[in-house]
Amino acid sequence: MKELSFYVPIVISFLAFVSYSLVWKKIEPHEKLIGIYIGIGFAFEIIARVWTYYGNNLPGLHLYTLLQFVILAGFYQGLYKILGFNFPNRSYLIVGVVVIVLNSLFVQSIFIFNSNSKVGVELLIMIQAISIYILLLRNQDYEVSSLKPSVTFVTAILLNASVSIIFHLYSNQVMKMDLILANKLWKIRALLNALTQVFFIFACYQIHSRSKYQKALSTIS
Amino acid sequence: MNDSAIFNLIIVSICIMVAIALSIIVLFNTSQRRIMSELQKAHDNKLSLQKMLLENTVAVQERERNRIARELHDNIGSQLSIMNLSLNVLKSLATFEPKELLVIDQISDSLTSSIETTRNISHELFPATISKFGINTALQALATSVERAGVIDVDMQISHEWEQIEQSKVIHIYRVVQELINNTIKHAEAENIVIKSWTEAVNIIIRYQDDGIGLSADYNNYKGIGLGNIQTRIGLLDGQFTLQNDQHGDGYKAIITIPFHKPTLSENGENV
Repeated sequence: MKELSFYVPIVISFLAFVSYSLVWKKIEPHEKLIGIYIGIGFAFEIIARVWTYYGNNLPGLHLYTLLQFVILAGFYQGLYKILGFNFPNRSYLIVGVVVIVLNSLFVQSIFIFNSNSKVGVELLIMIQAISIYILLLRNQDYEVSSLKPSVTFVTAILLNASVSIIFHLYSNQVMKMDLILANKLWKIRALLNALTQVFFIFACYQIHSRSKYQKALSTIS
Repeated sequence: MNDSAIFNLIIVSICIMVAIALSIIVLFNTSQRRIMSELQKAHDNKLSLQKMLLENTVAVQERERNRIARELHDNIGSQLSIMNLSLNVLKSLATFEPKELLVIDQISDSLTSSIETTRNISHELFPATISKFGINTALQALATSVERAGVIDVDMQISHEWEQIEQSKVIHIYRVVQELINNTIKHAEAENIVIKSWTEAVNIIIRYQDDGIGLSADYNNYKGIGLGNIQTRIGLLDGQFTLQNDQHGDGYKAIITIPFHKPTLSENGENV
Protein backbone atom coordinates (compact mmCIF):
# COMPACT_ATOMS: atom_id res chain seq x y z
CA MET A 1 0.00 0.00 0.00
CA LYS A 2 1.45 3.35 -1.07
CA GLU A 3 1.52 6.36 1.21
CA LEU A 4 -1.02 9.17 1.07
CA SER A 5 1.62 11.52 -0.37
CA PHE A 6 1.78 9.21 -3.39
CA TYR A 7 -1.90 9.58 -4.28
CA VAL A 8 -2.81 13.08 -3.05
CA PRO A 9 -0.88 14.99 -5.79
CA ILE A 10 -2.41 12.76 -8.49
CA VAL A 11 -5.94 13.16 -7.14
CA ILE A 12 -5.63 16.93 -6.76
CA SER A 13 -3.96 17.24 -10.19
CA PHE A 14 -6.85 15.26 -11.61
CA LEU A 15 -9.37 17.55 -9.86
CA ALA A 16 -7.58 20.64 -11.24
CA PHE A 17 -7.58 19.06 -14.70
CA VAL A 18 -11.32 18.31 -14.48
CA SER A 19 -12.07 21.82 -13.12
CA TYR A 20 -10.18 23.33 -16.00
CA SER A 21 -11.94 21.14 -18.55
CA LEU A 22 -15.28 22.33 -17.15
CA VAL A 23 -14.42 26.02 -17.66
CA TRP A 24 -12.42 25.54 -20.86
CA LYS A 25 -14.99 27.30 -23.07
CA LYS A 26 -15.11 30.31 -20.74
CA ILE A 27 -11.40 31.08 -20.58
CA GLU A 28 -9.32 33.75 -22.31
CA PRO A 29 -6.70 32.65 -24.90
CA HIS A 30 -3.69 33.19 -22.60
CA GLU A 31 -5.43 31.23 -19.80
CA LYS A 32 -5.77 28.25 -22.16
CA LEU A 33 -2.02 27.78 -21.80
CA ILE A 34 -2.50 27.28 -18.06
CA GLY A 35 -5.08 24.63 -18.91
CA ILE A 36 -2.50 22.88 -21.05
CA TYR A 37 0.07 23.32 -18.25
CA ILE A 38 -2.32 21.67 -15.76
CA GLY A 39 -3.05 18.86 -18.24
CA ILE A 40 0.66 18.23 -18.83
CA GLY A 41 1.32 18.41 -15.07
CA PHE A 42 -1.35 15.74 -14.48
CA ALA A 43 -0.03 13.57 -17.30
CA PHE A 44 3.53 13.79 -15.97
CA GLU A 45 2.37 12.93 -12.42
CA ILE A 46 1.04 9.62 -13.80
CA ILE A 47 3.84 8.99 -16.30
CA ALA A 48 6.53 9.62 -13.66
CA ARG A 49 4.91 7.11 -11.29
CA VAL A 50 4.48 4.45 -13.95
CA TRP A 51 7.99 5.10 -15.28
CA THR A 52 9.57 4.37 -11.87
CA TYR A 53 8.50 0.71 -12.26
CA TYR A 54 10.57 0.45 -15.42
CA GLY A 55 13.62 2.50 -14.42
CA ASN A 56 14.93 6.03 -14.05
CA ASN A 57 12.14 8.52 -14.78
CA LEU A 58 14.37 11.63 -14.87
CA PRO A 59 14.27 12.01 -18.71
CA GLY A 60 10.61 12.91 -18.08
CA LEU A 61 11.72 15.79 -15.83
CA HIS A 62 14.00 17.14 -18.59
CA LEU A 63 11.12 17.13 -21.05
CA TYR A 64 8.76 18.62 -18.44
CA THR A 65 11.23 21.48 -17.75
CA LEU A 66 11.28 22.37 -21.44
CA LEU A 67 7.49 22.26 -21.76
CA GLN A 68 7.04 24.22 -18.51
CA PHE A 69 9.34 26.96 -19.76
CA VAL A 70 7.61 27.27 -23.15
CA ILE A 71 4.04 27.15 -21.80
CA LEU A 72 4.59 29.61 -18.95
CA ALA A 73 6.50 31.99 -21.26
CA GLY A 74 3.43 31.94 -23.53
CA PHE A 75 1.11 32.58 -20.57
CA TYR A 76 3.20 35.52 -19.32
CA GLN A 77 3.44 36.89 -22.85
CA GLY A 78 -0.39 36.94 -22.98
CA LEU A 79 -0.47 38.94 -19.74
CA TYR A 80 2.30 41.30 -20.94
CA LYS A 81 0.22 42.06 -24.02
CA ILE A 82 -2.87 42.81 -21.91
CA LEU A 83 -0.83 45.04 -19.62
CA GLY A 84 0.78 46.87 -22.55
CA PHE A 85 4.33 45.66 -22.01
CA ASN A 86 6.45 44.90 -25.04
CA PHE A 87 8.44 41.80 -24.08
CA PRO A 88 10.84 40.17 -26.63
CA ASN A 89 9.24 36.78 -26.12
CA ARG A 90 10.48 35.10 -29.31
CA SER A 91 14.17 35.75 -28.51
CA TYR A 92 13.55 34.80 -24.87
CA LEU A 93 11.98 31.50 -25.95
CA ILE A 94 14.71 30.65 -28.47
CA VAL A 95 17.54 31.35 -26.03
CA GLY A 96 15.75 29.50 -23.19
CA VAL A 97 14.95 26.40 -25.25
CA VAL A 98 18.49 26.22 -26.67
CA VAL A 99 20.04 26.52 -23.18
CA ILE A 100 17.73 23.84 -21.72
CA VAL A 101 18.38 21.42 -24.60
CA LEU A 102 22.14 22.03 -24.54
CA ASN A 103 22.18 21.48 -20.76
CA SER A 104 20.37 18.15 -21.16
CA LEU A 105 22.55 17.02 -24.04
CA PHE A 106 26.00 18.09 -22.88
CA VAL A 107 26.04 19.24 -19.26
CA GLN A 108 23.57 17.25 -17.15
CA SER A 109 22.65 13.91 -18.63
CA ILE A 110 18.95 13.12 -19.00
CA PHE A 111 19.43 10.39 -16.37
CA ILE A 112 20.37 12.82 -13.60
CA PHE A 113 18.53 15.86 -12.20
CA ASN A 114 18.70 18.82 -14.60
CA SER A 115 19.24 21.13 -11.65
CA ASN A 116 20.90 23.86 -13.77
CA SER A 117 18.08 24.33 -16.23
CA LYS A 118 15.37 23.61 -13.64
CA VAL A 119 16.74 26.24 -11.22
CA GLY A 120 17.14 28.69 -14.12
CA VAL A 121 13.55 28.12 -15.29
CA GLU A 122 12.16 28.48 -11.75
CA LEU A 123 14.14 31.71 -11.31
CA LEU A 124 12.83 33.12 -14.60
CA ILE A 125 9.28 32.09 -13.66
CA MET A 126 9.64 33.97 -10.36
CA ILE A 127 11.09 37.07 -12.02
CA GLN A 128 8.29 37.08 -14.58
CA ALA A 129 5.67 36.65 -11.84
CA ILE A 130 7.08 39.64 -9.95
CA SER A 131 7.21 41.66 -13.19
CA ILE A 132 3.50 40.89 -13.73
CA TYR A 133 2.74 42.16 -10.20
CA ILE A 134 4.66 45.38 -10.90
CA LEU A 135 2.88 45.87 -14.23
CA LEU A 136 -0.49 45.23 -12.57
CA LEU A 137 0.26 47.96 -10.02
CA ARG A 138 1.54 50.43 -12.61
CA ASN A 139 -1.13 49.90 -15.23
CA GLN A 140 -4.73 50.57 -14.22
CA ASP A 141 -6.29 50.42 -17.69
CA TYR A 142 -7.40 46.81 -17.37
CA GLU A 143 -10.53 45.43 -15.76
CA VAL A 144 -9.47 43.96 -12.38
CA SER A 145 -12.18 41.29 -12.26
CA SER A 146 -11.21 39.93 -15.70
CA LEU A 147 -7.60 39.33 -14.61
CA LYS A 148 -8.36 37.82 -11.19
CA PRO A 149 -7.92 34.18 -12.33
CA SER A 150 -4.62 35.08 -14.03
CA VAL A 151 -3.38 36.78 -10.83
CA THR A 152 -4.27 33.60 -8.90
CA PHE A 153 -2.28 31.54 -11.43
CA VAL A 154 0.70 33.88 -11.12
CA THR A 155 0.50 33.66 -7.31
CA ALA A 156 0.35 29.86 -7.40
CA ILE A 157 3.22 29.66 -9.86
CA LEU A 158 5.34 32.07 -7.78
CA LEU A 159 4.74 30.12 -4.56
CA ASN A 160 5.47 26.82 -6.26
CA ALA A 161 8.62 28.10 -7.98
CA SER A 162 9.97 29.70 -4.78
CA VAL A 163 10.00 26.30 -3.04
CA SER A 164 10.70 24.22 -6.11
CA ILE A 165 13.88 26.18 -6.80
CA ILE A 166 15.35 25.08 -3.45
CA PHE A 167 14.53 21.42 -4.11
CA HIS A 168 16.15 21.53 -7.51
CA LEU A 169 19.14 23.46 -6.21
CA TYR A 170 19.86 20.58 -3.82
CA SER A 171 18.27 17.80 -5.87
CA ASN A 172 21.46 15.89 -6.53
CA GLN A 173 22.40 16.00 -2.80
CA VAL A 174 18.86 14.87 -1.88
CA MET A 175 19.28 11.85 -4.17
CA LYS A 176 22.31 10.78 -2.11
CA MET A 177 20.66 11.59 1.22
CA ASP A 178 19.39 9.18 3.85
CA LEU A 179 16.11 7.73 2.49
CA ILE A 180 14.00 8.74 5.52
CA LEU A 181 15.10 12.38 5.33
CA ALA A 182 14.79 12.43 1.53
CA ASN A 183 11.26 11.02 1.79
CA LYS A 184 10.33 13.79 4.21
CA LEU A 185 11.51 16.36 1.67
CA TRP A 186 9.60 14.68 -1.19
CA LYS A 187 6.47 14.74 0.98
CA ILE A 188 6.89 18.48 1.50
CA ARG A 189 7.33 18.83 -2.25
CA ALA A 190 4.18 16.76 -2.88
CA LEU A 191 2.24 18.88 -0.39
CA LEU A 192 3.41 22.04 -2.14
CA ASN A 193 2.36 20.67 -5.53
CA ALA A 194 -1.04 19.81 -4.13
CA LEU A 195 -1.35 23.34 -2.72
CA THR A 196 -0.52 24.80 -6.15
CA GLN A 197 -3.22 22.64 -7.72
CA VAL A 198 -5.70 23.90 -5.09
CA PHE A 199 -4.84 27.46 -6.22
CA PHE A 200 -5.49 26.37 -9.81
CA ILE A 201 -8.88 24.94 -8.83
CA PHE A 202 -9.69 28.22 -7.09
CA ALA A 203 -8.72 30.09 -10.28
CA CYS A 204 -11.17 27.87 -12.19
CA TYR A 205 -13.88 28.94 -9.74
CA GLN A 206 -12.90 32.58 -10.40
CA ILE A 207 -13.21 31.96 -14.16
CA HIS A 208 -16.67 30.53 -13.58
CA SER A 209 -17.69 33.56 -11.46
CA ARG A 210 -16.25 35.97 -14.03
CA SER A 211 -18.19 34.28 -16.79
CA LYS A 212 -21.42 34.53 -14.76
CA TYR A 213 -20.72 38.20 -14.05
CA GLN A 214 -20.03 38.96 -17.72
CA LYS A 215 -23.19 37.13 -18.74
CA ALA A 216 -25.21 39.17 -16.23
CA LEU A 217 -23.60 42.38 -17.55
CA SER A 218 -24.42 41.54 -21.15
CA THR A 219 -28.04 40.80 -20.16
CA ILE A 220 -28.35 44.19 -18.46
CA SER A 221 -26.89 46.13 -21.40
CA MET B 1 28.08 18.35 5.49
CA ASN B 2 26.10 15.42 6.80
CA ASP B 3 22.56 14.54 5.64
CA SER B 4 20.90 16.09 8.64
CA ALA B 5 22.68 19.42 8.06
CA ILE B 6 21.68 19.41 4.37
CA PHE B 7 18.11 18.55 5.37
CA ASN B 8 18.03 21.48 7.83
CA LEU B 9 19.59 23.79 5.27
CA ILE B 10 16.93 22.86 2.70
CA ILE B 11 14.10 23.36 5.22
CA VAL B 12 15.46 26.77 6.31
CA SER B 13 15.93 27.80 2.65
CA ILE B 14 12.39 26.74 1.84
CA CYS B 15 11.06 28.73 4.80
CA ILE B 16 13.01 31.82 3.71
CA MET B 17 11.83 31.49 0.10
CA VAL B 18 8.21 30.99 1.15
CA ALA B 19 8.46 34.01 3.46
CA ILE B 20 9.87 36.13 0.62
CA ALA B 21 7.22 34.91 -1.84
CA LEU B 22 4.42 35.50 0.69
CA SER B 23 5.76 39.00 1.46
CA ILE B 24 5.73 39.83 -2.25
CA ILE B 25 2.19 38.49 -2.63
CA VAL B 26 0.93 40.36 0.45
CA LEU B 27 2.69 43.56 -0.65
CA PHE B 28 1.14 43.27 -4.10
CA ASN B 29 -2.34 42.66 -2.68
CA THR B 30 -2.24 45.53 -0.19
CA SER B 31 -0.79 47.91 -2.81
CA GLN B 32 -3.40 46.89 -5.34
CA ARG B 33 -6.19 47.33 -2.80
CA ARG B 34 -4.87 50.78 -1.87
CA ILE B 35 -4.62 51.85 -5.52
CA MET B 36 -8.11 50.51 -6.24
CA SER B 37 -9.57 52.33 -3.25
CA GLU B 38 -7.86 55.59 -4.36
CA LEU B 39 -9.19 55.11 -7.88
CA GLN B 40 -12.66 54.39 -6.51
CA LYS B 41 -12.49 57.52 -4.37
CA ALA B 42 -11.45 59.62 -7.37
CA HIS B 43 -14.25 58.07 -9.42
CA ASP B 44 -16.80 58.81 -6.65
CA ASN B 45 -15.57 62.40 -6.43
CA LYS B 46 -15.91 62.78 -10.18
CA LEU B 47 -19.44 61.38 -10.05
CA SER B 48 -20.50 63.64 -7.20
CA LEU B 49 -18.99 66.63 -9.04
CA GLN B 50 -20.91 65.66 -12.17
CA LYS B 51 -24.08 65.30 -10.13
CA MET B 52 -23.53 68.71 -8.55
CA LEU B 53 -22.97 70.24 -11.99
CA LEU B 54 -26.13 68.62 -13.28
CA GLU B 55 -28.09 69.81 -10.26
CA ASN B 56 -26.87 73.35 -10.83
CA THR B 57 -27.69 73.16 -14.54
CA VAL B 58 -31.20 71.94 -13.82
CA ALA B 59 -31.64 74.56 -11.08
CA VAL B 60 -30.52 77.33 -13.46
CA GLN B 61 -32.86 75.92 -16.11
CA GLU B 62 -35.77 75.96 -13.64
CA ARG B 63 -34.92 79.53 -12.54
CA GLU B 64 -34.80 80.65 -16.16
CA ARG B 65 -38.11 78.93 -16.88
CA ASN B 66 -39.56 80.66 -13.85
CA ARG B 67 -38.28 84.03 -15.06
CA ILE B 68 -39.62 83.54 -18.60
CA ALA B 69 -42.95 82.27 -17.20
CA ARG B 70 -43.22 85.35 -14.99
CA GLU B 71 -42.30 87.68 -17.87
CA LEU B 72 -44.91 86.01 -20.06
CA HIS B 73 -47.59 86.14 -17.40
CA ASP B 74 -46.89 89.52 -15.84
CA ASN B 75 -45.62 91.47 -18.81
CA ILE B 76 -46.84 90.12 -22.14
CA GLY B 77 -50.00 88.61 -20.65
CA SER B 78 -50.87 91.89 -18.89
CA GLN B 79 -50.17 93.96 -22.00
CA LEU B 80 -52.37 91.68 -24.09
CA SER B 81 -55.14 91.99 -21.49
CA ILE B 82 -54.83 95.79 -21.50
CA MET B 83 -54.94 95.82 -25.31
CA ASN B 84 -58.07 93.68 -25.25
CA LEU B 85 -59.64 95.94 -22.66
CA SER B 86 -58.74 99.06 -24.68
CA LEU B 87 -60.22 97.49 -27.76
CA ASN B 88 -63.47 96.85 -25.91
CA VAL B 89 -63.46 100.46 -24.60
CA LEU B 90 -62.82 101.71 -28.15
CA LYS B 91 -65.70 99.55 -29.37
CA SER B 92 -68.09 101.06 -26.83
CA LEU B 93 -66.96 104.69 -27.33
CA ALA B 94 -67.24 105.01 -31.10
CA THR B 95 -69.73 103.98 -33.76
CA PHE B 96 -68.38 101.55 -36.30
CA GLU B 97 -69.55 100.15 -39.59
CA PRO B 98 -70.57 96.43 -39.37
CA LYS B 99 -67.48 95.53 -41.42
CA GLU B 100 -65.23 97.43 -38.99
CA LEU B 101 -66.97 95.81 -36.01
CA LEU B 102 -66.26 92.38 -37.49
CA VAL B 103 -62.54 93.19 -37.71
CA ILE B 104 -62.54 94.55 -34.12
CA ASP B 105 -64.24 91.35 -32.90
CA GLN B 106 -61.69 89.25 -34.78
CA ILE B 107 -58.84 91.20 -33.15
CA SER B 108 -60.51 90.81 -29.75
CA ASP B 109 -60.90 87.04 -30.27
CA SER B 110 -57.28 86.81 -31.35
CA LEU B 111 -56.16 88.72 -28.27
CA THR B 112 -58.27 86.52 -25.96
CA SER B 113 -56.76 83.42 -27.56
CA SER B 114 -53.24 84.88 -27.23
CA ILE B 115 -53.88 85.71 -23.56
CA GLU B 116 -55.01 82.11 -22.97
CA THR B 117 -51.99 80.68 -24.85
CA THR B 118 -49.60 82.95 -22.96
CA ARG B 119 -51.15 81.89 -19.67
CA ASN B 120 -50.90 78.20 -20.62
CA ILE B 121 -47.27 78.49 -21.75
CA SER B 122 -46.44 80.40 -18.59
CA HIS B 123 -48.06 77.69 -16.42
CA GLU B 124 -46.36 74.93 -18.36
CA LEU B 125 -42.98 76.64 -18.01
CA PHE B 126 -43.34 77.07 -14.31
CA PRO B 127 -46.36 75.77 -12.47
CA ALA B 128 -46.81 78.33 -9.73
CA THR B 129 -49.47 75.98 -8.34
CA ILE B 130 -46.68 73.82 -6.91
CA SER B 131 -45.33 76.53 -4.66
CA LYS B 132 -48.80 77.90 -3.86
CA PHE B 133 -50.88 74.74 -3.38
CA GLY B 134 -48.45 71.82 -3.45
CA ILE B 135 -47.58 68.99 -5.81
CA ASN B 136 -50.93 67.19 -5.56
CA THR B 137 -52.91 70.21 -6.70
CA ALA B 138 -50.37 70.99 -9.43
CA LEU B 139 -50.59 67.43 -10.80
CA GLN B 140 -54.40 67.47 -10.58
CA ALA B 141 -54.34 70.75 -12.53
CA LEU B 142 -52.07 69.13 -15.10
CA ALA B 143 -54.46 66.17 -15.37
CA THR B 144 -57.46 68.51 -15.73
CA SER B 145 -55.73 70.45 -18.51
CA VAL B 146 -55.06 67.16 -20.37
CA GLU B 147 -58.65 65.97 -19.88
CA ARG B 148 -59.99 69.31 -21.09
CA ALA B 149 -58.80 68.43 -24.60
CA GLY B 150 -61.35 65.60 -24.46
CA VAL B 151 -59.12 62.84 -25.83
CA ILE B 152 -57.47 61.30 -22.77
CA ASP B 153 -58.87 60.55 -19.31
CA VAL B 154 -56.40 60.77 -16.45
CA ASP B 155 -56.94 58.78 -13.27
CA MET B 156 -54.59 60.17 -10.62
CA GLN B 157 -54.23 58.62 -7.17
CA ILE B 158 -51.40 60.30 -5.32
CA SER B 159 -50.08 59.74 -1.84
CA HIS B 160 -50.62 62.69 0.46
CA GLU B 161 -47.18 62.21 1.97
CA TRP B 162 -45.83 63.94 -1.12
CA GLU B 163 -46.81 67.27 0.36
CA GLN B 164 -43.92 66.91 2.78
CA ILE B 165 -41.25 66.51 0.13
CA GLU B 166 -38.94 69.45 -0.26
CA GLN B 167 -39.66 71.93 -3.08
CA SER B 168 -36.44 71.28 -5.01
CA LYS B 169 -37.37 67.61 -5.36
CA VAL B 170 -41.04 68.15 -6.05
CA ILE B 171 -40.36 70.10 -9.24
CA HIS B 172 -38.40 67.13 -10.62
CA ILE B 173 -41.28 64.75 -9.89
CA TYR B 174 -43.70 67.15 -11.53
CA ARG B 175 -41.51 67.46 -14.63
CA VAL B 176 -41.15 63.67 -14.89
CA VAL B 177 -44.93 63.14 -14.78
CA GLN B 178 -45.37 66.02 -17.22
CA GLU B 179 -42.87 64.43 -19.64
CA LEU B 180 -44.55 61.01 -19.38
CA ILE B 181 -47.94 62.59 -20.12
CA ASN B 182 -46.41 64.49 -23.07
CA ASN B 183 -45.02 61.21 -24.44
CA THR B 184 -48.44 59.57 -24.18
CA ILE B 185 -50.13 62.51 -25.90
CA LYS B 186 -47.54 62.63 -28.70
CA HIS B 187 -46.93 58.96 -29.44
CA ALA B 188 -49.21 56.57 -27.61
CA GLU B 189 -52.68 57.11 -29.17
CA ALA B 190 -53.99 56.31 -25.69
CA GLU B 191 -57.42 56.95 -24.19
CA ASN B 192 -56.56 56.51 -20.53
CA ILE B 193 -53.69 57.32 -18.24
CA VAL B 194 -53.48 55.92 -14.73
CA ILE B 195 -51.01 57.48 -12.30
CA LYS B 196 -50.75 55.91 -8.87
CA SER B 197 -48.30 56.69 -6.15
CA TRP B 198 -47.68 55.31 -2.72
CA THR B 199 -44.90 55.17 -0.17
CA GLU B 200 -43.09 51.95 0.61
CA ALA B 201 -40.63 52.02 3.51
CA VAL B 202 -38.25 54.84 2.54
CA ASN B 203 -39.34 55.11 -1.09
CA ILE B 204 -42.02 56.86 -3.06
CA ILE B 205 -43.25 54.60 -5.83
CA ILE B 206 -44.97 56.15 -8.82
CA ARG B 207 -46.62 53.89 -11.37
CA TYR B 208 -47.55 55.48 -14.66
CA GLN B 209 -49.53 53.52 -17.22
CA ASP B 210 -51.37 54.26 -20.43
CA ASP B 211 -53.45 52.07 -22.73
CA GLY B 212 -51.85 53.22 -25.97
CA ILE B 213 -49.89 51.37 -28.63
CA GLY B 214 -46.75 51.06 -26.50
CA LEU B 215 -43.21 51.79 -27.62
CA SER B 216 -41.51 50.16 -30.59
CA ALA B 217 -39.48 47.03 -29.80
CA ASP B 218 -36.17 48.88 -30.27
CA TYR B 219 -37.09 51.77 -28.00
CA ASN B 220 -33.91 51.21 -25.99
CA ASN B 221 -31.83 52.27 -28.99
CA TYR B 222 -33.86 55.37 -29.65
CA LYS B 223 -34.20 56.99 -26.26
CA GLY B 224 -35.31 60.53 -27.03
CA ILE B 225 -34.57 63.75 -25.22
CA GLY B 226 -37.74 63.27 -23.16
CA LEU B 227 -36.69 59.92 -21.72
CA GLY B 228 -33.17 61.27 -21.23
CA ASN B 229 -34.55 64.21 -19.23
CA ILE B 230 -36.63 61.85 -17.12
CA GLN B 231 -33.59 59.73 -16.34
CA THR B 232 -31.50 62.79 -15.51
CA ARG B 233 -34.10 64.11 -13.09
CA ILE B 234 -34.66 60.70 -11.47
CA GLY B 235 -30.88 60.38 -11.17
CA LEU B 236 -30.75 63.73 -9.35
CA LEU B 237 -33.27 62.33 -6.89
CA ASP B 238 -31.14 59.15 -6.46
CA GLY B 239 -34.10 57.23 -7.78
CA GLN B 240 -34.70 54.49 -10.31
CA PHE B 241 -36.70 54.54 -13.52
CA THR B 242 -37.96 51.38 -15.17
CA LEU B 243 -39.87 51.35 -18.40
CA GLN B 244 -41.97 48.26 -19.03
CA ASN B 245 -43.08 48.10 -22.59
CA ASP B 246 -46.02 45.92 -23.51
CA GLN B 247 -45.59 45.09 -27.17
CA HIS B 248 -49.04 43.53 -27.42
CA GLY B 249 -50.53 47.00 -27.73
CA ASP B 250 -51.51 47.37 -24.08
CA GLY B 251 -49.59 50.58 -23.55
CA TYR B 252 -46.49 51.20 -21.61
CA LYS B 253 -45.82 51.29 -17.91
CA ALA B 254 -43.22 53.33 -16.06
CA ILE B 255 -42.22 52.61 -12.51
CA ILE B 256 -40.37 55.33 -10.65
CA THR B 257 -38.80 54.76 -7.26
CA ILE B 258 -37.50 57.75 -5.34
CA PRO B 259 -35.92 57.63 -1.87
CA PHE B 260 -38.17 59.51 0.46
CA HIS B 261 -36.86 61.37 3.49
CA LYS B 262 -39.57 62.95 5.55
CA PRO B 263 -38.40 66.41 6.58
CA THR B 264 -37.86 66.59 10.29
CA LEU B 265 -39.50 69.38 12.24
CA SER B 266 -37.40 71.95 14.04
CA GLU B 267 -38.26 73.20 17.51
CA ASN B 268 -40.43 76.00 16.16
CA GLY B 269 -42.32 73.54 13.99
CA GLU B 270 -40.75 74.46 10.64
CA ASN B 271 -39.58 71.89 8.13
CA VAL B 272 -35.83 71.39 8.21
